[in-house]
Amino acid sequence: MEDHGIFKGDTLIVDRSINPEKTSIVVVVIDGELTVRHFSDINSEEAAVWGVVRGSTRDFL
Amino acid sequence: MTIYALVDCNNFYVSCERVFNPKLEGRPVIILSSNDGCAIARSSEAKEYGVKMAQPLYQFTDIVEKYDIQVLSGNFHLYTDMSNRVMQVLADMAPTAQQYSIDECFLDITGLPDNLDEYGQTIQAKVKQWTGIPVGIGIAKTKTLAKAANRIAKVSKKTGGVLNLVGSQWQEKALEKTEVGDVWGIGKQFAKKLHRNGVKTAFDLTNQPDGWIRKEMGVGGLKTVRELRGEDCIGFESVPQPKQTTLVSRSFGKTITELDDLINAVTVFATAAAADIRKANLVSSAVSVFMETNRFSNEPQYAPSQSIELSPARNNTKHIVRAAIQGVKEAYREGFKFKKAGVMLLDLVDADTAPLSLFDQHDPKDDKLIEAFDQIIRRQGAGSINFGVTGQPSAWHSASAYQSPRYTTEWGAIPVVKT
Repeated sequence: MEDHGIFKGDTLIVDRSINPEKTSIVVVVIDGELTVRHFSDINSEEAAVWGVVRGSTRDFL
Repeated sequence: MTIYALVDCNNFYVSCERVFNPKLEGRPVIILSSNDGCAIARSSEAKEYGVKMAQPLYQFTDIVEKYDIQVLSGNFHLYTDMSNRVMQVLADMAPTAQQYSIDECFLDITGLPDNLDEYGQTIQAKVKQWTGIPVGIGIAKTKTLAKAANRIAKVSKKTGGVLNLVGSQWQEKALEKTEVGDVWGIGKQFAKKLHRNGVKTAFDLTNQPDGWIRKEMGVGGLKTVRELRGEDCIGFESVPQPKQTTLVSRSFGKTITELDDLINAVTVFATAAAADIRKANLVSSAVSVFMETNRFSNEPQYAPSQSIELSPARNNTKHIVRAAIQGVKEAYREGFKFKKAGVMLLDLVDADTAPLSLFDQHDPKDDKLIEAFDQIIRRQGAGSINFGVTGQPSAWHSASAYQSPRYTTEWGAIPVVKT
């Protein structure tokens, strides 16, 4: 996810009320686990969209 | 004519858990009451294995092991927050929304959409997408019919979870399918009596003469029957009465005998009760404290209560806790094993219109302190900050051995996603 500017320890702001677009970063359920993915990378048969990532915050300390 | 939609969350507590722990999807899940005493919610899979509502845990531990049922302690912080989310979404979808319980809400959808079935499906899809909670919806011309429709919508796969009885041939069918004991407002005892009289379904009931119903079931019963016939009798009651009292009580994980432990417990209850009324902008003019020994044991019994007046009326934790502790000290007697205690705040009135006292020594520092206190709790979660006397709650704290994190109300508990 680092290619998309998301690093370990970041806090994601997830919006369930919007529908994903091709360019969206999304939280999906894969094998029962919440997982962050680029929407174009997911296989819709094995992953259900849980919410769309609106942004993220990062602590420097 | 008003058109009602009753929106009811499916297996609400279980559904809340599944939103943040999707592994539970499709698995049998049981939620336990506080103290991990008995089942208060069951997923449909768990129902199939024969776990009954309110059944004590020890009676089904073998089933839990045999079928690998996931057992969870009730996480009421999570359920309350998720309930608020569902209610907020619903409030946006109809001019009037009236919450009926933690997981049910009546909507007034009169004149909204041309196609009621479609609108029901829209509501269902939106709640599911926005909150993750699946709901069933019953649509009808009265609340009682909407309840009945909802019931059928939930069990009948054909409906897809939405059943509209308005202007359809289904209304009579629905009544035929509804067992009379399942009608909203008909009690178990009365259902038995109706059965003895050959009235088995809601449809049978609608065919009884009014005089007989009034005689047997009273005016309230007649209202129910008229509602089943499609006559709107209940409606959206005008503004609900603001609450007059608030109660926080709990059974202890183990019995306690020491005054210090009781003070400790009651302080926590008083703190919660005070926060509760502050949120509603109410003040209380009396604090009542009670404690009980275990009624079902052979030990000596003692169940005192003590009220302490607050003048002027207050909602500051400091004052409420002080009064509660005074109450405990006055009511406490040595030599009893207490199983339960609670704090009730009485005579609640709006904080802005509460009578002031000439002799009120109002300290603005108190307001600032409690503001900061509330803010810390909002950010860090209940229990993150306490009044000094609360100390360690270990002596009385209830067992909740299998509780999930407070995903939505505690910053440190928000879900972690994989990459």
